[in-house]
Amino acid sequence: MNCQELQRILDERELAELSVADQRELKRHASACADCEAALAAHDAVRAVAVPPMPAAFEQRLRRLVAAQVAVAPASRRAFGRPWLVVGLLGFGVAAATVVGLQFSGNAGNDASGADAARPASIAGEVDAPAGFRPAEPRENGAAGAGAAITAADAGGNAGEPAPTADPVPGRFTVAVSPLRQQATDPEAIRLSEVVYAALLDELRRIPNLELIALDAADVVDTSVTIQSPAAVSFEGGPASQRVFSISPNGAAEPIAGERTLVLVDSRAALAGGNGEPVVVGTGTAPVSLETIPTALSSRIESITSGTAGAVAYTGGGPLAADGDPAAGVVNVVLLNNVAGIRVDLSQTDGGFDSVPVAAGQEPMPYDFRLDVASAHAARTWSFSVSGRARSPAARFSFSAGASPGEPVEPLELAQQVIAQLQENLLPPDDSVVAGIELEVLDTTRSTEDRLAALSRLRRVEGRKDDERPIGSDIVAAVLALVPGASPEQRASIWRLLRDTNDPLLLPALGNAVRYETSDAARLEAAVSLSRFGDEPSVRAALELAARTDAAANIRQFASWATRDEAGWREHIVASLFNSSQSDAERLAPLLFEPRNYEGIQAAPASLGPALDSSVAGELAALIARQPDEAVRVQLLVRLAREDHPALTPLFLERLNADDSDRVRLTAVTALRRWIDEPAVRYGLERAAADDVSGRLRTVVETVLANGSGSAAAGTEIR
Amino acid sequence: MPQSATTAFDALIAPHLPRLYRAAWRLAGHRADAEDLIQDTCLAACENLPALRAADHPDRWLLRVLYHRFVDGSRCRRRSPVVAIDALPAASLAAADEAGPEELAAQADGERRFVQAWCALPAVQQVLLTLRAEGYGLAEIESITGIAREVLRARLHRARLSLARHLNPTTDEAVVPSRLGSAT
Repeated sequence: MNCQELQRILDERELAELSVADQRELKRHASACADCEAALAAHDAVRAVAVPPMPAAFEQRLRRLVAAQVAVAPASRRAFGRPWLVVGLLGFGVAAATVVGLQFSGNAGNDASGADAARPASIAGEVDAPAGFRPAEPRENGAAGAGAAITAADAGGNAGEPAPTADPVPGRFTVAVSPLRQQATDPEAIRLSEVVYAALLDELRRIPNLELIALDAADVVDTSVTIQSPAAVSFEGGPASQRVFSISPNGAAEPIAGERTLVLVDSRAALAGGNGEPVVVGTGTAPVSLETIPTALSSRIESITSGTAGAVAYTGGGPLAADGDPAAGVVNVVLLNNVAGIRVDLSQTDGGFDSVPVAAGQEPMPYDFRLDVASAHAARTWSFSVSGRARSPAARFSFSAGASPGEPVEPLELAQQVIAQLQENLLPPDDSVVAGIELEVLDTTRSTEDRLAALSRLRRVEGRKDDERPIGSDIVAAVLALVPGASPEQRASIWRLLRDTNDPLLLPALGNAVRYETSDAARLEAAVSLSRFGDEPSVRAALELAARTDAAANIRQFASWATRDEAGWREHIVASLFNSSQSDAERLAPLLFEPRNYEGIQAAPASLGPALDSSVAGELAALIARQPDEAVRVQLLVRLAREDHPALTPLFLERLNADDSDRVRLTAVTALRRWIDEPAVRYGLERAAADDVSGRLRTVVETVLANGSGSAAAGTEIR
Repeated sequence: MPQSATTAFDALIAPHLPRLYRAAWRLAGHRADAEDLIQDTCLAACENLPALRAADHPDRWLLRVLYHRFVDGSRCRRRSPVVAIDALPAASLAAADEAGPEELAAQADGERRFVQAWCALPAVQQVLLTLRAEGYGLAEIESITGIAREVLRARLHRARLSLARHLNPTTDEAVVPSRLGSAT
């Protein structure tokens, strides 16, 4: 038997069907061939997964859902059938001290035939109250949010328009727009919100190749959990694949953490009932902290609300997590205030289920475009924030617009600004626009500066296109020809702007730049771009050389990181800590290395994890104690706090007791907060508070001691 | 329920639900997501009943929808890298009665490793391995996914090797440990 025959068997046949002799032969070959052995093992591993039988009730729930779905009006059905369209609509804040799920007070534009009563009861809507919840009290209709009565029809919505086609057109963008339903007490805020909403709809309708779905909030169906507190924290879940949670504190000074009343609201059950009011499934209390919130699974909602949460395996931020926050991508923090507002969720269609315009080996175009327009109204201040992110790192952008207190509010102008940003930064560009920019890059009569500016625009545009047409070789060649006459800053731009184009022309140019470029900044950009090229021998050799010999410490550091995997980098961090032939700064540099500081690199910082023991902690303590710069000591403590490891508590306690800097001591308190249930930690904090002469530290410590460890006590910390 | 919808559901969808459920469960890894995936699939099917009726193999047609739904959603799932331990495969619970503590620990560890390795695979690879594990041959997988036979063969092989590599990361990565060219 050879490799092809074995593969064919794995592809076409059941192993049990093979004769004993064939099975023996197959195993004999696999034992002699690493690839085939691995393939066979993987095949067996997948087959070995035990799949439980379908729950008996599921079919009935599904049948009811399908029936309800067929009965609803086309626009609602369309939105409901494409849950990714409405995911962004789920993050609405909930008014303070009010039990509000998702509510609506009007029909969708083309839903005038009593379809509300027939709206689908999602199968997931049949959620029982989690354990520990008491049955909900009946609530009166219209108890909250009656003022925010914006509907698609009111705002010039899609009444009378034909229903959207069943399948989206490949490459077209769909924008789902929905009014926010919050309790608004300020009639002026409501009026302005309606005007802005109407303006947005009008502007969106003018955009070619864009399908607009103006949603009624009733289309947003989901189970949501609301924390009833002055901080108004809300958890909102979506379909399993698209859950979004938001935290909406009404005042920055009000703490989110602590014992909170939780209200489980099932808006889907309400829709089934047809009265438009969310149904409170139950209420209960549970300790909540920020760390309990980034939980994207409904089971976590239940466990949090019922206070029975077990340990959570946190697998790290992942390549798609946003910068800075290990839980990024899971949590959106939205400051909303008590006001009606607007939220727009922008998604891109991929052609539905009949065609997926994705080239071989590529991932589908990410549905990362996201436009949140939240209007906050505080002392007549309106603000809009827009953020988006596309496949190309260069396509990230953010935008905000607003009116200051005392200034006249021009909602139409604000809406137009938002739309302009949308067209400029997120929507797919017209082909003629792309061609025009390409010509600018190729135009040798233009200055280097102009051509690089055009290249920058081209990269931004590239990230918004759905055909993923790469930057052409002619463009790459033209840009590379600029290098000899370019300034160091321009050369750095060139290497950064050509990142991830992966044109073969680029490889030798980058290799040379990493070796011979005289500007540190340009050489670093070249090294980063080279690291993204692929694991080829020439790439590896160039970066390994840079790791050993480059004159710039940050380039050595980056190259060293890029050529190691996670475990290798962890070993390197530890080895550096113990390398007494280096300066302290050099010994600590790998620990403080932040890969995300390099554009295009989204890896999470390494964790010392299993390598962290008492000897490493002891070495770290000595190194930190020797750091003369207070800022460096703070930086190190913040970095080590992320490790979330008990072996580090003596180190933090030492800083708390021995450091002469208030900043360092306060950082140590923050780091120790998680371990407050440890007697030694509690004792150390109490002593520090008692010894504090300034009173500042004492206040913080007393607050920490009073509040306890929060999530750790509940066993819901994210690891 | 309108008669046509009842009839269509009973005739075209219900008979294939167990099969869809198995595939969805394998892909999603636990019940809630599997049910959501099937829900999406069925709603999409309801919007396209004529096409479903015209399909030679309704089960493959539905699986095709499910396949695309899953691939569509995979991007978003990756943005939520929080995994609750209680969301790990229920299969481990099913076997819990018969195993001792050490076996259970080893089994749980093995399952966790499998889940982690599985989650690291691209969605398309997950789909291919799932369909194959569910007993579909290349011709059927081709008609479900629209991927040409020879490409499919290569991708299946790559998927297996990829899974094996993630299950046992020391095999390849020990030889060439780096982040070069990776998404990170």
